[in-house]
Amino acid sequence: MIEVKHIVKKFGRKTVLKDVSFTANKGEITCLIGINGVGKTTILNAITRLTPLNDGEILVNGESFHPSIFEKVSYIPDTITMLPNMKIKDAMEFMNDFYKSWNQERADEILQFFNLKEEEKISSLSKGNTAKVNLMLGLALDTDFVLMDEPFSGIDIFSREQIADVFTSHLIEDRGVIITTHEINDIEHLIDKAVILNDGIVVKEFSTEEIRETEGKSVIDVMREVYRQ
Amino acid sequence: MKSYLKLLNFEMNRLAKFLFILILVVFGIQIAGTVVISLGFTSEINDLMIRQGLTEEEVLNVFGKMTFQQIVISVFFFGTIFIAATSVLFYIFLIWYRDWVGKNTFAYRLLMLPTNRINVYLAKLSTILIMTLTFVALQIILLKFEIQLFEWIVPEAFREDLTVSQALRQSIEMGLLYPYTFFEFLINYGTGITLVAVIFTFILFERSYRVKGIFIGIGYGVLSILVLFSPFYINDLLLNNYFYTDELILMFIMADIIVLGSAIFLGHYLLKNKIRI
Repeated sequence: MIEVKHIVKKFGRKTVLKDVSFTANKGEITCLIGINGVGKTTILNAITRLTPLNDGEILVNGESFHPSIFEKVSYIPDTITMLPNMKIKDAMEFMNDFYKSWNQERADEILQFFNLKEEEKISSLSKGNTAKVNLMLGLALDTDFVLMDEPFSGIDIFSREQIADVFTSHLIEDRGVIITTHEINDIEHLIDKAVILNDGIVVKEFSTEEIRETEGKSVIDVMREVYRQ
Repeated sequence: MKSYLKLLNFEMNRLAKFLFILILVVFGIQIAGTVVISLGFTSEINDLMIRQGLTEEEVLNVFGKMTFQQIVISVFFFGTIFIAATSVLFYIFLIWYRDWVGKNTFAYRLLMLPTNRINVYLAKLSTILIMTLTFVALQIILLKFEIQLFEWIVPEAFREDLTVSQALRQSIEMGLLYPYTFFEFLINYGTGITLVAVIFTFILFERSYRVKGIFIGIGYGVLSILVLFSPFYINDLLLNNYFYTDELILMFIMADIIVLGSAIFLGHYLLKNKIRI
């Protein structure tokens, strides 16, 4: 389980996260929802210690941050994490060199799934294919949790559909996923849990299935309610 | 240790192209300089002997014998050493900023490796040291070739031959790069590595606190340099040259170890706790 406990983050005088707490479980897809600048990416960066916090604590399976956490949590930011002059093949070799949890068979399978060639240079890829390579680099690690920042941002509808298919495939299986997205329509039916952020705090955390069954509302309905208030 | 070596190998591969081009430029200019200066000299003596009919002795009275020192102190030589030194300095900044700035966001991957982040720092520091030592070593090999070239072009009667070792002693600057003793070598290159580590930590202050970090980094850099050279200031300004040279050197080595240790410690702290993408 990933536990985010009362985290506070300030950028200069602006407090982006005032007091954010939530949990994300293995086997669940947790979606962080909020308007631009609400601090969704900052939360993912904080979990992976890519940004320091002013206060609060984050635990992964009960442990605080340690470099070996990256064998348990893989983070897929909204930007490619490899050198542009690398071929896909070189990027995979790099991952294989540094990560014990790297699963080459899975990487090959994802390449095939996305119809990517390992000889292609990262800098020559389209935005959609770059996002797919980024996704491959994160999903081919046998980790308990996958963090995804805006995986659908700025890419065409076919690529979005392909990426959305990943969520229902065995590539996710029983892993825990924390995802941030604006394109809620693409994955609304896949989300187990939604965490709505506004003004630096969690305004609502709910099980999507429960809210559908008890109140007959979709995630977007709840979002509208929250942001209209 | 394994991760450090893998990262060092990775950094060296990234450096290879840059280093190769730099070596070609630097050594190309040096060889061209050796040829131009040597040919210039022989053409002048030919001119005097053929056109003006001077004898060998008379020409030697006018010019004296040419030595390789004239090449070592020329702009071709110093210019290239300046280019190499500037390139190393440029690379000290590039080695960090290229992973943060522009379209390249490789910093994400470096900071997400399942290894202690200090390995990233140490691998980059070692890369700069290896880069410098590669230049220094290749320069010795090249000197041998350049001396040979000089001897081919300038007739024996008009030149005074130098060995590579003598050629390296022709200027103070070369003396810094090629010290006389192994102990001096350790001091010179130890100080160099410490200064690089201080710059690295300055960069990490900037990457952690951005604009505020520049000011913190400058303060840190000034303090580090003050501490590093403090034995000399204290001895000169306050104690009226009280210490023997050996004692001063020992104190300098201790100051060097303190500054290097604190630079690495601070760099580690910033990478672990304060760095941001």
